[in-house]
Amino acid sequence: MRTPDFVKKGWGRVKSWWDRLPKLPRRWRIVRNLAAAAVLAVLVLTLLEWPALSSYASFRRLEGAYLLTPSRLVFQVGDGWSAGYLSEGDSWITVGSVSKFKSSGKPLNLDRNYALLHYILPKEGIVAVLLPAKNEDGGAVAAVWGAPEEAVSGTMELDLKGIKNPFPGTFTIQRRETFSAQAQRREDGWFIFQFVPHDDHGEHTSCAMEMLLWSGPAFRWAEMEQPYRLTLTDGQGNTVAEQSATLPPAQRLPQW
Amino acid sequence: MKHIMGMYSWLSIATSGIRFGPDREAVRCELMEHMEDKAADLMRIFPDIPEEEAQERALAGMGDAWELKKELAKVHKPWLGWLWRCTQVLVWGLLALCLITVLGSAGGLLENQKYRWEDAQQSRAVGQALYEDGTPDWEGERLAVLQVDGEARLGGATISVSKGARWREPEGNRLFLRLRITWDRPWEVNDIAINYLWAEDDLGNTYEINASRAMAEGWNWCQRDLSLKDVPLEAKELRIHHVLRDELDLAVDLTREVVP
Repeated sequence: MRTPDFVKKGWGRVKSWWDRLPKLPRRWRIVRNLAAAAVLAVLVLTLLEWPALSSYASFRRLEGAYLLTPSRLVFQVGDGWSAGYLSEGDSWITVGSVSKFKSSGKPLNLDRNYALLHYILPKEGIVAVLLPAKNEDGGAVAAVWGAPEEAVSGTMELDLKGIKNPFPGTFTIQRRETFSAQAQRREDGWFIFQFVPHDDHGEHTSCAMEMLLWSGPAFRWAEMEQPYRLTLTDGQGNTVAEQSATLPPAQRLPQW
Repeated sequence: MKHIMGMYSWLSIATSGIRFGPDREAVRCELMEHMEDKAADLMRIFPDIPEEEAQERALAGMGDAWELKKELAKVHKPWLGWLWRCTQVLVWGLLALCLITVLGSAGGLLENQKYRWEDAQQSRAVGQALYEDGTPDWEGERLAVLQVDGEARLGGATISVSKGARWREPEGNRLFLRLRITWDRPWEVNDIAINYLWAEDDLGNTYEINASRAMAEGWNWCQRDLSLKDVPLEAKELRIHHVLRDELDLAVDLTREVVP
C-alpha cells in the first residue's frame, strides 16, 4: 500500500521540526521520558477507571469511597468467585462483598470485580451480622461484636424462613430451618460463627442456607432480616448475655 | 579495495568495546568521518598523492585500534543507553495503551465526558444564580449571600464548604451551601458519600443532606449545592456531621452576610 503524499509531507514536517529542537543530553532525555511516562500512566489509569487488581482492593476502595477509612480487616471468607469482608473502624462496622464477573463493563475488562457494601453499622450494643459469602463448608458465617468482656464462648441459632429458591420454576422455601454454631472469643473481641448447611434433606428438597447463598451476594442477600438467638457464656459456662433479635436489613451500597 | 577492508576492520575493532548498539554506530560514523576528513586534508596538501595512499596514511594516523577500543569501552557505559531505551519503550507503550483504551471505549468515554461537561455547566450557572449575579431559572428571591469557609478531614478525604446563600422560595426558606468532598485517592470519588452527612444548627434543629440544586464532579472531587429547607434566620451556625462517624464536626458560620 502506498503512503499518501500528504501523510509523507506531514511526517516530514514533524521530523524536521523535531530535528530542529535542541537535543538534550542522554541523562536529561531519561528524566524527560520518565516524566512523560508518569503523566501518561496517570492518563491511562484514569481512562481505565483505576482498575482494582484484587477483590480486597475493590472492597477497600469502596470503604474509602464512603469515607469509612481508616479501618481494620477483621475477617474474610470466599469461595473463589465471590468474597465477603468484615472490617471495623473506631465507631462503625462494615460488611462488604466482591464478586467477579466475566464482564464488568469497565474499560478493557481489566477489573472484573463488583463490590457492594452490605452493612455499615454503628458500634452500639451487641451487633450481629452475616457475611455475604460461603465458607469452606458451603455455609454462612456470622460475626458478633460488642459481647461483654467476661464472655469467652457463644452459641448462635439462626432461623431461615421464606428464602427464595434461585432456580426458575421453583418456590420459596416456606418452612423454617434452624442452624446452630458455636464460637470462641477472639483476641480482638469478635466472635465468628461458622454455620454448616443441613445434609439431611430429601431428594426433592433444598437446604434454606444453601439456597440463600447459592446465587452470590451481588444478586441475593436481600432476605437478611432473619431471626437469631445468641447466648454468650463465661469461662465457667454461666450465661453472661442473651440476645434474640433479627439480623439487620442489607443496605447494599454499590460502587459509583 | 585492501585499504577499504583495512578501514572497516579498524573501525570494527575500535568500536567493538562499546556495548550499546546505537552509540557504537554513532562513534563508528564519527570515526569514519574523521578518517575521511584526514584523507581529504592530505589530498589537499599533497595534490599528487593517490586517494588510496591518502586513505592508508589517514588510517595509519588513527592509532592502534585495540588501544582505542579499550579507551572507548571505558568512556561509553552501556547502562545509561539501555535505561534511555527502556524509557522510550515505556513512553511508546503507554501511548499505545492510551490509544487502545480510547478506541476500546470511545462511546462510553465521550458520553461520560459529555455528562460531566453538562453537569459542570449547570453547576456554574446555578452557582452564579445562587451566590453571584446570575439569573435563576426558578422562582425565588435571594435574601443574603453568606461568606462561609470551612474545611475538615474525614477518612481519606477533605470536606469543605465554600459558598452559602439564603433564599426565599415558594415552598419556604432555603439555605444553600456549596459542599465539596476531595478524595486523596482519585479512584475513591463517590457522589453518594454526601448522603451520609447531616447538619445541625445552633438552635438544635437537624437537617438531612439529601437535596441539592446542582452537582459537579472532577478528577478527585465531587460537589453539590446543598439545599437545606427551613433553616431559621436566627440560626447563627451550622455543624455538619457524618451519620456513622463522630470525628466530623465541620462548623459553618451563618452570620457573615456579604450581600444583604
